[in-house]
Amino acid sequence: MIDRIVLGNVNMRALPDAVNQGEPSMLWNTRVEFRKGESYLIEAASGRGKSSLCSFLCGLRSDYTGRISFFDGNCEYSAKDERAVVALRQRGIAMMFQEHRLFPDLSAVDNVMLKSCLTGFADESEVRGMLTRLGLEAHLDVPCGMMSLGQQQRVAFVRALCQPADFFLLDEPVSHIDEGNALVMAQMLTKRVQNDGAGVIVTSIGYRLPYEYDHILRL
Amino acid sequence: MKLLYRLLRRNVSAPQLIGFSLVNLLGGLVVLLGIQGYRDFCSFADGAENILSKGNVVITKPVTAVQTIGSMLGLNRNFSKREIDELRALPAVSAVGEFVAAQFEVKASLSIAGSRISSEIFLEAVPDEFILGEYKSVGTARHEWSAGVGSKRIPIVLPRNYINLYNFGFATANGMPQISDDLLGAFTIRLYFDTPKGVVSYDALVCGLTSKINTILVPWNFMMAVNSEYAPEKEPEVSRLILSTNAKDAGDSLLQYIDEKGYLIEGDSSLVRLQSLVYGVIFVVIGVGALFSVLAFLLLAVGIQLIVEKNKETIYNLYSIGYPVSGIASVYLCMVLMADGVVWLLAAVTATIVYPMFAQLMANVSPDFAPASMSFVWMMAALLALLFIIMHGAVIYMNVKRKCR
Repeated sequence: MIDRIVLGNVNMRALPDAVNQGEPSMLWNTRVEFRKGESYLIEAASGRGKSSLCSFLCGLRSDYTGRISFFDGNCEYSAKDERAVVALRQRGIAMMFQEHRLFPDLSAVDNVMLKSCLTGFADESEVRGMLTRLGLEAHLDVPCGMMSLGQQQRVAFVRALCQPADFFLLDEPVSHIDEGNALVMAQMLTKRVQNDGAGVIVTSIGYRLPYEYDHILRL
Repeated sequence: MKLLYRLLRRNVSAPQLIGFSLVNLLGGLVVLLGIQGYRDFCSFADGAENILSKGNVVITKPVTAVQTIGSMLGLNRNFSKREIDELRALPAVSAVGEFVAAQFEVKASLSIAGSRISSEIFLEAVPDEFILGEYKSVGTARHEWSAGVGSKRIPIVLPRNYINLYNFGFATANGMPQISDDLLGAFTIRLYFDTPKGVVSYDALVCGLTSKINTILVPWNFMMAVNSEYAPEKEPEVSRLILSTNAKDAGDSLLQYIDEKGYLIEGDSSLVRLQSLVYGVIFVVIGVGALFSVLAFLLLAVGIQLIVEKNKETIYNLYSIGYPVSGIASVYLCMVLMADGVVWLLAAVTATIVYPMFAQLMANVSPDFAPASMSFVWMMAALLALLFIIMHGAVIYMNVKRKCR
């Protein structure tokens, strides 16, 4: 279990100067703590490193300076070794990728079930229910490669919900979503967070997920 | 897992897998047949009267026209003490025995069915340790391999080809009865030694036949005694040597030495060369089979790399959503487990079916050829399958892991 994530002077190794563009960053090159049970909105213009930060947080990339620590009480973990990263992604951090990372040949249901089978979180009927709630009832068995970006984004959101999580990390989750579906997504997220007591970290380029954020951070 | 299989088995080429399987099946089959053939031939060669792998070998110097003239002029073509010592020093040789001939004229006389056969013959002796176990006893009586001056009866061992020559040549042409091995022991051969002390006669009993030592043998102590008694002034010359070899793998090195020195091996040298040839053929067969198997292994390894390369985005996305490298690799591992396992199983089954046919052919040629059980082949097939699976598994894991970075 992770109760907080601490960023200690983290910066991108590849593009360290990106942090100096525009307004001063509240995340790069400083100490930031994300606490379980609290919600964070990270806002930034394009190219400021939102997706990079998300990849650093879920251990997909390690090309950064500084230190990212995961704490369970006083126990500190890092996401450097494969076993820790896999455990982090299966139980610690539920990640919704900006580029969705769906499998185009699999249907919406199968894409979600692929994750749900791994975590054992929801059965197929529950998955179908969640997708239906987001207006995908006609596309449940349609390969994701044939869906619009907005439909794909909703599938990716449901997939992110289908796992136990201490933090939900959503990278621009509503960039292709209409207001109505964004509201439903926010409701579904709220319900999950209330059940699990999880933390929420959402990134946005401007159009944000309509959620009650405790903290708004500029990257 | 079903979804994972469906996702990852894309880009798996069925023709490629079938091609790998056929090449590996062929290679595996040849390797397994070669291994079984090698084992059986080793047993066969061990069991056969093989002079170099165990037991004794008789060597001489070659007789050429030049040497014939040389010997007429009194030049010595016998083995010198230095040559004998050199042979003794060879690691492959445990003992060297000299053939000692009677240093006086010997005549033999034998009565068969009222007919009398008389001829000048020669007698030789080799140290007892070389002759014991090298001949097949005949008749029912067992004679002690020992005699001395004045002994009433002397045991002798005849070359089998002498008896064959009599039975299928002399006896047939002269209307005389053929002699079986059992009856041979019942005949008494009268020997006459023409010595400076006059003609001395002895009765000889055939106690055995040998196909390895081509001479009429008498016990060593008898030969020493009669030479000393009847020709004390003559020093026996050594024109033949009997070598006792001490190691199975000494065959080639000893053969090489004998070839270098220009000596000749009596009797079974062709068998020795044939044995070397057969071993060579078996190794070539195993080598070709192994080459096929290695090629098949590489074919599948490259195929796996290509499949992983084509699926790299899928693999990375699976890793991104929480699938471990081992979980992703297990899909390909199952595929390889099936391909390698089934191929080696089929190779073992086919070898088990095909090999007895080959063994039957061999048994027709040589009744002594007895094929061993195929259990070793099954064990080898299991080991090789395991080796292939482990190595392919390592290739898969490393490739998948690389794509997850």
